[in-house]
Amino acid sequence: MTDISVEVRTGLASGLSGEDADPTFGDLFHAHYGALVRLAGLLGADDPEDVAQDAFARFYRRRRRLRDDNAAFAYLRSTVCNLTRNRKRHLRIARLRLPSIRDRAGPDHEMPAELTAIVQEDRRRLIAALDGLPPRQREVLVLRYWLDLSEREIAETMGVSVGTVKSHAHRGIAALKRHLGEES
Amino acid sequence: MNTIEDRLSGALRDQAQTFTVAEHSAAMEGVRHRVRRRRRRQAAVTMMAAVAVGAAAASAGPLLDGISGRRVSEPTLAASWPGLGPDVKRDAAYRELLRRRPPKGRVTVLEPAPGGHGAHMRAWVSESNGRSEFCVFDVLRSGGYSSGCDGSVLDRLHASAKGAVMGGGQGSSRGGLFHYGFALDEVRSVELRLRGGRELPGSHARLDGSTVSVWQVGTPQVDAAKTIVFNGDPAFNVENRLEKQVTCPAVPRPPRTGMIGMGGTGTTDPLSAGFSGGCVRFWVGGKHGGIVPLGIHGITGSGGLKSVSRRWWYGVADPATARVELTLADGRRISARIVSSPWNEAPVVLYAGHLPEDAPQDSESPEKAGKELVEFLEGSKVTGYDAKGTKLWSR
Repeated sequence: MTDISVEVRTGLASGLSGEDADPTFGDLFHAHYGALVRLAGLLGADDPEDVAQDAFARFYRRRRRLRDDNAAFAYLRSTVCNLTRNRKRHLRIARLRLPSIRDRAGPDHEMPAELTAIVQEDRRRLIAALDGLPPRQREVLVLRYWLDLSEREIAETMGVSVGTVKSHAHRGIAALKRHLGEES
Repeated sequence: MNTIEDRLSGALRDQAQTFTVAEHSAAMEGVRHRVRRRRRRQAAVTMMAAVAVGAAAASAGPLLDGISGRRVSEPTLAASWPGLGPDVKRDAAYRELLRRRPPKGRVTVLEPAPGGHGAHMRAWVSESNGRSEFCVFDVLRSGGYSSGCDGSVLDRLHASAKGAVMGGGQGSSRGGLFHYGFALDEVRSVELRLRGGRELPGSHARLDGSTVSVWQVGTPQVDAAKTIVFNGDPAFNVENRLEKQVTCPAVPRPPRTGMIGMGGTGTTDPLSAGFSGGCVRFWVGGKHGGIVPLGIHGITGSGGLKSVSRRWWYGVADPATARVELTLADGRRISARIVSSPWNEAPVVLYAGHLPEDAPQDSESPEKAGKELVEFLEGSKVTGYDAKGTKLWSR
């Protein structure tokens, strides 16, 4: 017990109290925290910030095994996906209602008002359709069309094959089209 | 009109902007808290390992009087844990459990018996999918806390015909030990019998809106406990003194007979199990791999990730369990091998599975290896299913 107490004091203080003590962790945190919060939100997490912080805490404990920054961000991204999926599936946490695009401040100033309204309605319907997709399809679409990841990167993030990514993407887009009444 | 892919990109960009991000300093504090909390739990797990070692007789604490619990309405309880300072995350976790599993009645507060040992407990009855769930949130004096809900309590209570089950297992704080669980209302008091023969009264209280009570017992010394005693009400003709074994006598090496091989060849140390003195003992490569006193765990009907050692995860579960699965935090699922016990005195099933290849390797330091494994398994859970695939328990 004594050893553990000592470790808590020294390890935590040196590892997290300032960027100088652990610049890699601090840099990663400042660079990616916001993106990971938004990723969790787009994947349907009830508390995106909680998920992102949890991911960083897990990363902190394993950071020695992930010296490469690219590998670290891939790990964080993957952890956010897994945490969000697990929380939704196992804990059945009621989802927090997100503000709709109609409530969002800041219109698209470059478009005429009528067109803006049409675009916003279209986007609202798309997000609503995305909400209804199976989790894996949703993940693929968010990683592809929001983070612009390649199929290979998505496969690595989700721990599935490239073929599975293609299949999820195809079905996800088809489902969105069905929902929007745009089937060919 | 753009393609649906282009429109989706735009919609996602828009939607992403609706998620607010806290100041980085506040967010970093959230990460910091999680790391600290994880280490507090590690400390508790380390102490729990000592429980399984079994024990010699030790001096007992003073004889204490049991108390009844209080029933209090939420949310007045949210930040009131006797003797403990505020902990934003702990109280948030408590409120989150209340939100996910809202109480059907009032929340029951169960403190240790006066001058005794145990945890600050809150328990209530909730409902999920039309089934009653019994929820507990317990906070140790060290500040560590745990929580959970169990939907199988009523079934197990009635199936056991004994009137009492362990709901959550055991915990420890600074060398102490406490057990808690649920009992039918016919159980009138709970005590912890020490190896020297003395008894420490525990506390118990009926849950609002239920015929079930929650109980706990504790002792300042882990190795002093021998059995948990449930005193029934003779008017209900229930067993008057039901004793559940807490600790197990020491066995220095694997016996030569009566062992069950659970698997393991080549580079994996073989895992085997034996039964004696009311306890199931696991052996990994001829070394101790953990002890499960069936006086508690066998009757509970539950199982769980009892032990992890040298590439194995394994445990003991109710005989109705037909399939056991380990779900890691990243979503991977690993099935266990199930073996029915051949021991007449111990109608249980044993389960064992391999840890994945990326689990931490053995270390020269057992403590270090244990910590790494605990980290690796953070967020994982073990679930037991019956032959029809119905979930029986989860830890």
